[in-house]
Amino acid sequence: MPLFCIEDSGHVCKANRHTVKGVLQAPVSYFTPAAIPPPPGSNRSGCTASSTLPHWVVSDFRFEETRHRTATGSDPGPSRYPFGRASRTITLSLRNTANDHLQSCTITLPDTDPNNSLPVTQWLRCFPNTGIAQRYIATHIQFNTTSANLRLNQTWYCADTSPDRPLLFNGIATIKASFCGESNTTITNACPAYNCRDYFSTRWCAIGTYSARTGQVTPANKTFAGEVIHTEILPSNALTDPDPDPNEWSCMADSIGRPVTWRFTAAPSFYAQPGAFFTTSPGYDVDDPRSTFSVYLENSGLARRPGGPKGGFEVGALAERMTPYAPGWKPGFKYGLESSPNDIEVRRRPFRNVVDWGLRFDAERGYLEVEHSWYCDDKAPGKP
Amino acid sequence: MGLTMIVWTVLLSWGFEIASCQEKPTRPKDVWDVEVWGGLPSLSPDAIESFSWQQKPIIAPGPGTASGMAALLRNPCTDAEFLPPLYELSSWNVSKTYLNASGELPTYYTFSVTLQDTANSYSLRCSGEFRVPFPPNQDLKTPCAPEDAFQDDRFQGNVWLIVRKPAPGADDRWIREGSLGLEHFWYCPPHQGESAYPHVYRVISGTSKFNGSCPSQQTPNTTYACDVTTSPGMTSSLTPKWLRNQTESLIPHPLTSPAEERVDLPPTRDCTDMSLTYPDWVVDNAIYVPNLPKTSINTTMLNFTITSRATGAQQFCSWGGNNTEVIRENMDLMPLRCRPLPGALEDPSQSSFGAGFWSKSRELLVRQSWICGNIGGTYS
Repeated sequence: MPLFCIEDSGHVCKANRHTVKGVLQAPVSYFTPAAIPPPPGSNRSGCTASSTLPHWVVSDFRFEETRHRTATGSDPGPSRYPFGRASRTITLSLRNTANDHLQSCTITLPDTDPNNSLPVTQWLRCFPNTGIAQRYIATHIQFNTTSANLRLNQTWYCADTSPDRPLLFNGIATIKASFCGESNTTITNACPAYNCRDYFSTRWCAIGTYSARTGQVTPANKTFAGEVIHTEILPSNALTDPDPDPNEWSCMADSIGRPVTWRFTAAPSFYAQPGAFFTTSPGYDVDDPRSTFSVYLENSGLARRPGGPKGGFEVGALAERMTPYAPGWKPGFKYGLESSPNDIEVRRRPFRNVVDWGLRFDAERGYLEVEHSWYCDDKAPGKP
Repeated sequence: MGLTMIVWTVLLSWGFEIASCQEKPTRPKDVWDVEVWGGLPSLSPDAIESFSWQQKPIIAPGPGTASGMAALLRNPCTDAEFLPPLYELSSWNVSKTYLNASGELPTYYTFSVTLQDTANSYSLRCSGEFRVPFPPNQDLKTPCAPEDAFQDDRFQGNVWLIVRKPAPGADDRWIREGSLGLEHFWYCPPHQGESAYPHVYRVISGTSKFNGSCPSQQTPNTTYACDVTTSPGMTSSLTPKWLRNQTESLIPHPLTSPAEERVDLPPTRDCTDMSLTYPDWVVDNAIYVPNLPKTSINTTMLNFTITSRATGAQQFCSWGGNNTEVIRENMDLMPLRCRPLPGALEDPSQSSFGAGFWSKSRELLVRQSWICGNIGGTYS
């Protein structure tokens, strides 16, 4: 603490307001958090000037609405084997030319009725796949499947001209998809029953270059102009030293600052009883390779992650790879999996925070054991 | 990538019972005797209450709904007049289709039958299709739905008609020698209060011998009707095996923990995120008057105000006056006393400050202990 001893011939010392950096000793020993980083590109030269008439470069955009049905034997069509609910995804890669920030995301929309292709009317936030910071560039999109218009609403920051007066820009743009079409795919014998066929019907829209030879749209850079609808002068510390926003998810805070809980939900299956996460063939031993274990695992430390799957992530395994219940099991001993972790089928790892998981399940005793590892790097990126 | 990742590895385990159609051995202990080994904190009661047991929505009877639909709402969870069901099968419609005689395509059966619960006055229609050859050693399960309703998510999986083959490899004999079973589930929403967990009830029927017959002609791409309506036993009531009591024991019960008596106030804001971001302090109004040469260090005066950025807690730290006990092992270290400012509100973070000052090097050591928790005060 710098003292100034100038009064009374230097005998009385005073100090100006002084900030003392703290180091946590618990619950994270000697953890020195990093300051919240400024939004990407905010100090890029020309950021402010280019933001008055913003442009975005769309390098990849695709909307897909896929319906699926399974048929066996002679198939008279959807009247007998109807389509199930439609799954919809939006893939986007977008670069703001003012700050040169590239935003990529894949958004999975809630399933919809097979015969109800309502336009997507809600604004969807486009989150990056990695590195969510507290003061990130917020990108929302809206795609109208009827008009094929992609609407963009983005908030970004510039501090290149006057660091003490950082600026917030909120701009919008409307981009029309280059092409829309419909694709139908049939896969035979991919479903469980003999001689069954999977039908996939996909409505899609894309931005890019259409190839008549392949019938596909290749992503290509397309530049679109937009307009700024709101500008705001922020406090001098808004970008460099802001308090964390309590509404934003924090992997660290949710993992070590709150009780961590897990929620298990049985993965829905037409062939299994509702609520069942373990299925086996009658007459076969529970350790038969055809027995399957499938469940959604939701970790409260990751559950609030924006843009993440609502039901957690799906894990599954085959019975032959599950360790049978070990009598005399002791809590201090780690038995692990009978086979190497690579034998466990990881069906989906939706985001990078999930490091690994494993399970043991004994159907006879109803014993379930789950091991889950994940990491966080949102508070001290250099020390995840 | 040059970075050492710190990961939290947690291990949790518990025992529970699964609801399946197989008889289970006697459990050695209560199904929700949760054991947690190591790792992060255990499952909280809140999490268990919100555990999703594939709850099925209860369908509210709308205007003009047929009485049969309203009867479907009757279940052991909410209807005091619910009776153990008594099932009858009727109106069989079974056919067999011979496809390509070359064997490229198998033969398949289609059937539909009306399932009526005469005790609770409703009926369902079970329609299915069996291909030959069957999957090995697998019962053929067919979902049942209201006769006038589409087979949708509301009914899918609640009622199943089960066809059991007589023996492996006897695919074509099922119509004569197979047997029928029935499995019926009711899913009830959780009730508030002490039973805040969902219920599942299940009925497993006995089996009835399937004694039908189908024409033996095998003209390709031709469908033939099979005769099962006259088979003995098909219209007799299936005897349900009512498992209410047993089933109740299979349903997860939330652990009940004694209510914690809190004497401290819940925080007005959750300082967890701030603490992990800025565990810093701001020092204001610092005044330091060193002792004069050849005088006791006790004549030194030092005081300042310290404010925690994470919690907002503010205290006044001082050395001098009556608080002039230096550390005897190190006559240079002056421990400061910190206390809340006069008239300050109660600090929900229960911050405790401590400070020390090395007079020779003029270094200041600050320490704070505090508590963060959610606003509801359920954890900290």
